[in-house]
Amino acid sequence: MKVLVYAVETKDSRRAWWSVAPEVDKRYWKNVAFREGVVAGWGEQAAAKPARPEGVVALKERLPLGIAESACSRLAELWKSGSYSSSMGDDMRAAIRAAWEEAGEAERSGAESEVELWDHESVSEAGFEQGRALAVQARELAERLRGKSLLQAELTAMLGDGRGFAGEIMQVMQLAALLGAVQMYPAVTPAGSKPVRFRLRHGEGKPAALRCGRCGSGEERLRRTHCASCGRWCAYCEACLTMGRCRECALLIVGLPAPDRPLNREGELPADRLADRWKLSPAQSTAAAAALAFMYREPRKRSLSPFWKLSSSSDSRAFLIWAVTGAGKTEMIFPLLDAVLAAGGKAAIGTPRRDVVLELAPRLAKAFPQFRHTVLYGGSEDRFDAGDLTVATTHQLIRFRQAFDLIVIDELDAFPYHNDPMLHFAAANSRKRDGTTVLLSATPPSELQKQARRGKLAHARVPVRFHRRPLPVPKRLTVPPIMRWLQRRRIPSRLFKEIKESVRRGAQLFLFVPYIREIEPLVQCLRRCAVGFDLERDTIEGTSSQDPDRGGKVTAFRDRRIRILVTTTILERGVTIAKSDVFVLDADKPLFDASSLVQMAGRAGRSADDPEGLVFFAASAWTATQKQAARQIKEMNAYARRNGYLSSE
Amino acid sequence: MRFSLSRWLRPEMSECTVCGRMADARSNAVPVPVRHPAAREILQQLCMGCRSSIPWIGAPVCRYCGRPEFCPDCPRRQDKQMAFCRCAVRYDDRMRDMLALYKYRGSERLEPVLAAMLAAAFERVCSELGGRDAAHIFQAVTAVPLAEERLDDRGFNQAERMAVSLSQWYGVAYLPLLQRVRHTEKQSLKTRRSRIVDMKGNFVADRDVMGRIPFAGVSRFRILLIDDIYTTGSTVNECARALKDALAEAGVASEPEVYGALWARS
Ligand SMILES: [Zn+2]
Ligand SMILES: [Zn+2]
Ligand SMILES: [Zn+2]
Ligand SMILES: [Zn+2]
Repeated sequence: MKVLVYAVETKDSRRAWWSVAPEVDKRYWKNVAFREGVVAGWGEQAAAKPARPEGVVALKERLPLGIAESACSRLAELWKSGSYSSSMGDDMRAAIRAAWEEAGEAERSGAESEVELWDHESVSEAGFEQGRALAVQARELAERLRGKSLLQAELTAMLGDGRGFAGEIMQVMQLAALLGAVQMYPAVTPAGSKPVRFRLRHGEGKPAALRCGRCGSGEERLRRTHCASCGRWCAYCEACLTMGRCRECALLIVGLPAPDRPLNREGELPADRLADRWKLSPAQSTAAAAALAFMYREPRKRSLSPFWKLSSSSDSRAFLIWAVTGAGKTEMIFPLLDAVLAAGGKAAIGTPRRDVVLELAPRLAKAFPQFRHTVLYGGSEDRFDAGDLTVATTHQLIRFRQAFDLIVIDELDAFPYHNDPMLHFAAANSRKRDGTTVLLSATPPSELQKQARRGKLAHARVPVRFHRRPLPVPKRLTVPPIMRWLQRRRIPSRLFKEIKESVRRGAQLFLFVPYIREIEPLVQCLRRCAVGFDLERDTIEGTSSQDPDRGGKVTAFRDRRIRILVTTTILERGVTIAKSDVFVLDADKPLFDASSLVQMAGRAGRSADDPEGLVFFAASAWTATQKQAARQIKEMNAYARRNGYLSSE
Repeated sequence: MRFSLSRWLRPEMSECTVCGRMADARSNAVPVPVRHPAAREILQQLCMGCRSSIPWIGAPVCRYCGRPEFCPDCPRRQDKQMAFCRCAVRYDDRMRDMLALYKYRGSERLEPVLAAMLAAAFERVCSELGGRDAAHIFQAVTAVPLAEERLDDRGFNQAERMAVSLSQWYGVAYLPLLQRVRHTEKQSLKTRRSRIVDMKGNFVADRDVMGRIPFAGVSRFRILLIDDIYTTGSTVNECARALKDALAEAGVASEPEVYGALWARS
C-alpha cells in the first residue's frame, strides 16, 4: 500500500508521520472542533497532544509504505538532533531522497515529492460529532487489538466476524495510531539494529538488510518481487507465508500489551497442598511447586537484548520442566494455569502438533470449566481472539504480541518447533515481557540440557512415571542392517527370537525403522513368519506419515487387533499403548538422534499393569547416539532412585 | 540460503520448488512435454513426486477449448470470438492447491513453475498453427487483466506474470492490451442494459498500448491471450471480443485472430 507522509511543527518541535487515512490527520491537526470531539470521545489523554501546531506540511502524493517509514524515521533522527533547516519541506524531501537511495532506487527520488501546507478547517458542529464518534470507535478498536499483531487482511477478517465498525476501518485505526493506542508498522522492515543516524549515510548502493516484523526472519527467507500495490520491488516473507503474506508495503498492526494482572499471593501453594488439590504424584507436585515458585518470583530486570533475539533459551523468565516420557506433564501445568487464571490473567499452551492441541483442549475445558477457552490451529473456528486459556499450535502464536502472562510450550523439541527460529520468535513475543514461559519436554535439546545443568536455566526434573517404576533401559541387539536381511527375506535369528518372546508374553510390538520405504517389505517379511510368531498374518501392519489410514491403524493397535506395528518416527510421541515393547531397527542410522531414541524407548512400559516393557536397539553397531540415549534413561532412573521417587526396589 | 547437509554432500541435489524436499536435478525419468530449454530446466528441478503428479493434457479432444475429453459445451457455443485455445494441465486437487498457494497466498516462488507448465500449452498452440517460431506466428502476447482492487490486494496479476515469462522465452512482445472496466462503470452499464449474463462488457482494450503492436508487413494478425484457468470460456471470449473490436475500430487489423493459452482446464 501507499501512505501519505506529513510533518507537524510546533513552537519547539517537529515530528513526521505517515498516514493510512490522511483525511483524519488533517482534521485532527487542523480542525479545532474535530479535536474537541476526539477528546470528548476518547478522554483527557487525547488533549495532551500539542493542540495548536504552527504548521503542517504534507506531501501531495502517497509513497510506498516502506519508503515512507524509512523517511519518517530519518526525520525523527534528524529533528531529535536539533538540526532544523528553515523549511520542513526541504527536510522531508531530503529524507525521502535518502530513503529511495538506501532502497537502491535512487532514480525514483525527486518524483512525487511536491509538498503542500494544510490549512485550518472551519469549526463546525458536525466536525465535533465526527471526532467524537471516531474516537469512541478508535477506543473500542484499540481494546480489541490488545495483545495482538495482525496483518490488515486479518484485522478485516477479525472485525468481520464480530461487531462491525461504522466508520471506515482505516480512519478509525489512523486515529487510534495518532493517539498512541495502536501501532502500525510495515510488515517487513529494515533489520534496524543500527541507529538511523548511521543509515543516513548512504551511497553503498546496496539496499538495507530487511527483516520480517512478524516472524523475525531475515534476508535469507525474504524474496523481492515487483509489487503492484506499491509500485516497487518489494520484499515479502516466505517463512510465515502460510499465515498470510507479510511484505514491505503491508501493514502490521500491533495493539498495546494486554493489561497487567499481578498474581495473587494466596495462589502459591507448597508441594503437599498441590498434590492433594490436583492429585499429583510426589515427583509431579515437587516440580509443579518449583515452577509455581518461579512464577511468583519478581521479574528480573528486563533483558537488554533486542526483541527479535528473545528466544526461549536465553530468557530469564523461562522455566524448564524436564519430565520423562509418561510422567504426566499436563497435570503438572494445571496448578500454574490455575494461578494465572485466578488472577484474571491469560495463559496459553503452545505445541508444535495439532493432534496434541485437539487432545488437550477437552481436558483443559473439563479442568477449568469457569473460564473462556480458545482453540487455535490451521483451519480452526477461532482465529484471533484469545480467551482466558488458549491452546494453540505454535504457528498460531504469531498473531499475538505481549498477550499472555503464562505460556507453556509443550514438546518443544518436536518438529516443527524445534530448529525453527520463527516459531521461537512467535512464542517469545506472544508472552508479556514480565510473564513466564514454561517449557515441557522429555528430551530437551542439548543446549537447553546444558544450560539447565549449568544453572543458567531454571528447571525441575520429573525423573519418574506416574506409576513410580523405573524407565525400561534399552537392550543392545546386534543384528545386520535391515536392507541386508530383508533382501534375503530372512529375519536374523536373534531378532526373531526376541520378537517371538515379546509376542508370547502378550505385548504389543512397535517396530521402528528409519525409512518409510522399508515399512512395506518388512511387513511382508514378518507376515511370512507370522506362523512362527504364533500370529495371524493380518495382525502385522505398517503405517507412516503418508498413510491416510494411520489413525485407524493406531486404533486397531490400541485394541490389539494389530499386534505388530511397523512404523517410523512419526509415532515416536503421543501414542500410548498399555502393554507394549519397542524394537528400534537400524538404531545406528543417523536419522535417529538421541531424543528420537529416548522417545521411541518411551513407548514401552507405560501402564501400571506392565511397567517393565522391553526396549531393544537392534543394529550392527552400538553408536555414540545409542549410548547417549541409554545413558539419559539410566541417569533419570538413578536420579529418581536418589530422590526416593521409585516405589519398590 | 539455508544450510543443508545433503546439498553439501551431494551437490546435484536441490530443493524442489513446489514441496521443498530434496530432489535429484539430473533425473530424467519423468518426461516433460515442453521444448524450450529454460522452461524444461525449471520443471526438471522439481522432485520426482511433484513432476509425476502434474496432470498434463497430452491430447486435446475438443479442438476448440483443448479439453482432454468429450466437451459438450463448445460445439453448441454461438459467438466464438476466440479462434481456439489450449490448456496445459487438468485442474485437479493438486493443481488447485498449487494455484491457490501462488495466487491467493502469494507464494511467488512458484511463478516460474507455473509459467513453465503453461509453456506446454503455448507450444501446442504454435505447433497447431503450423510452426515452431512463435515470434513469427504472433504479433503480441497479452494477459487477462485483474480488477484494480484485486491487483492492489494481491500485488501481482498471475496471468500477466506468466505471459511476461513466455514473452521472454519465446521472443514475442508482451503488451498489456486489456483493462478491466471499473466496478462502478460496470454497475451503471448493468442498469442501463437490462440483462448481461457472463463477462460481457467487463474488458476494454487500451488504445495507447495497441499503438505499440509491431504489425508492419504481416499477412495474418494474431494475438495470444494468457490466463490461468479455463472454466466456462466466457472470460477469454470477452477479452477476445474487446481486442478484436478495438483493433478493427482503430484500423490496425481488419481481421485479427485471438488465440488462448491457459494453464489449466477445469
Ligand atoms: Zn515472516
Ligand atoms: Zn509493495
Ligand atoms: Zn516436490
Ligand atoms: Zn471444448
